[in-house]
Amino acid sequence: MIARLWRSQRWWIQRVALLPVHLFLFAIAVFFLVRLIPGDPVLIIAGSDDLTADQYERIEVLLGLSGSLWHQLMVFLGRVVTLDLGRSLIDGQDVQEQIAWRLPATIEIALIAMVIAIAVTLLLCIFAMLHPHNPVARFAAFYARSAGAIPDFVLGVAGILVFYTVLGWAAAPTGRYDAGLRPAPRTTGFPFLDALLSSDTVLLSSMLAHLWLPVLVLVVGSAPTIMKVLQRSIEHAVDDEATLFRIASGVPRHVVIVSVLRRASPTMVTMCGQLFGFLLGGAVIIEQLFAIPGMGQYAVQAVGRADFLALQAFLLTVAACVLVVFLIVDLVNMTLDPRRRPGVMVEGNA
Amino acid sequence: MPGDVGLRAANAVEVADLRVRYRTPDGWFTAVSDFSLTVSSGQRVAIVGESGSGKSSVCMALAGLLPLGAAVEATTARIIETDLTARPTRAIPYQVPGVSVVFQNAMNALDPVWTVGSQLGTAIRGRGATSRARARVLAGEWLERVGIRDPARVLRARPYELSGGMRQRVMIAIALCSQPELLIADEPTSALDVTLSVDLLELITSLTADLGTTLLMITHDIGLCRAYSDRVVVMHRGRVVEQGDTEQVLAAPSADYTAALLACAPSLGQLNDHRLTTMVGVS
Repeated sequence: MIARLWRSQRWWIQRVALLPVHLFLFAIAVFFLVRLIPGDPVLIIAGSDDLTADQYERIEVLLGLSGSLWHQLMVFLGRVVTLDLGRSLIDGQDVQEQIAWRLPATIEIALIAMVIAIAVTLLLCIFAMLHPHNPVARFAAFYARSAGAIPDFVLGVAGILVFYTVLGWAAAPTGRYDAGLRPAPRTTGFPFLDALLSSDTVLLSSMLAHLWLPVLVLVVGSAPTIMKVLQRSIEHAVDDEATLFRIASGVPRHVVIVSVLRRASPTMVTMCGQLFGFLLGGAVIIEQLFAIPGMGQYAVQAVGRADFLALQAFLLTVAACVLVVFLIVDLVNMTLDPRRRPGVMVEGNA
Repeated sequence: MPGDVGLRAANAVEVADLRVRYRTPDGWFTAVSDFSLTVSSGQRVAIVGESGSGKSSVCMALAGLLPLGAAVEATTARIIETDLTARPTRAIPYQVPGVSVVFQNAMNALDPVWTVGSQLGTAIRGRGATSRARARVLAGEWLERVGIRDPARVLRARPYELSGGMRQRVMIAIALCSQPELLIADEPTSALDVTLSVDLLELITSLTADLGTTLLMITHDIGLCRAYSDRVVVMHRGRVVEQGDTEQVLAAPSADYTAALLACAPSLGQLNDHRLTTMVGVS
């Protein structure tokens, strides 16, 4: 009984069990990465090189830079496991606290942008699949081909210029809501969701006015990357004999379309995982441009101030997010297409 | 409605002067021309020819499954009750009502990501109002009908988890469960070994006979026609070279090409005949 359950369920249990392993390896990578930053972090933080040996040592210990490399690695991993990433020596803020409120804010914008990008992509691709010669379909194909041609910061600056400076449709790029408004009481940690839950309509409408443009910039900049992939895989799936056989067996139209989409979607789901990485990266630029406090702003700040601990924590957090997203991507794909599960042998594909 | 014998048209297929062309980068390529065929309901017709003779194009054209880049013209093209010439072409075609297709390789034809039960179930429900539970029961019965011994397991399986023969049987069940009036079988057994081919052809012909389904079979094996068709159409280079009663055509072929095809075909129908002839320059 248990053996049978294990055999049928092992594909996802194994994959989930791999996550801590991946996290561990990435933590080690981060450890070495931050140590490659040129200059002596102790001296940079102290701001001068006339330190007593005692002062030098104290800062070294606080940064986790004392002792042999092996000792440092052990101290570092211990801190990661106990989720104690330290207190910034620059502004005295607890690094973890900073990330705890900034991460949800960034993820929220990235997620909203991703959901809209996926919805738009699916609608356009399905329409183009059914009406390939329609002008809308031709536009979609052209737009998809433009993937990555215009960088986010150009779109961002152009967006601000057109929609704020010229047309006045968007609020000033001065943050998440108008200055003077109080944030919603913290319930979930996600600022927009909290505003929705608080039913503070003034705050909510101010947020909408401030956030639609940055979200639009992220969507317009990132949708082509998944659209390109989905369009191509849909074209392949439509031409498959499996599609013809479905049609010929007399099933309703929507079954044919769902069948095509399910066969075509794994490549897009994989792309969405990468898209999320892009969006987190894009958020760095967008947060700077629109003065939205979040992870991106934190990272830029940390690099500017050579805030060693903050940078280290930022890298760890982003790596963890991306690994979790890749886990979700793998699980979704193995559900959509069981041939992707480990140990499945397929003729001509084994 | 399919299966309602009383309302059936006398002819399942009425095609005259069919021409199929494909748009290629170098202009139009004509795959089939001057193809005419009338098949009365319940008949078994075989279209025979070598690869590239246009037989598959005919078959996809009659099933309404050609892609957008193909042009189908004809003076008459009635399949069951559908006038093919009056149908708009679509990027994703619609089924010609009452027409099912069986392909050469079930590994490609079956949907790899859905279970057999789901694929057979949706085909059984079709446009009808059968409940899911009822469709499940019928699906199990259909699997038994095509000779699958453990239907419960096969219903839960996905195509890649089955053997080649089982997959082919599943495909036949899906194609026939909607009780079509015309079954087009495009080389239904050429990917299989000899004994399995014979079993499956027996299965197809007996099921279509039970359902009163007209059978249009494409094959490159002229010997198979002897046992499994009433009429035969021989195609070569996109044209019909000969057609008629199977017995007569095979006994006394009037076209050189048919005779040559008969002489060189290593056929299931002539397993005792060990000598093969190579065809030289017949056109």
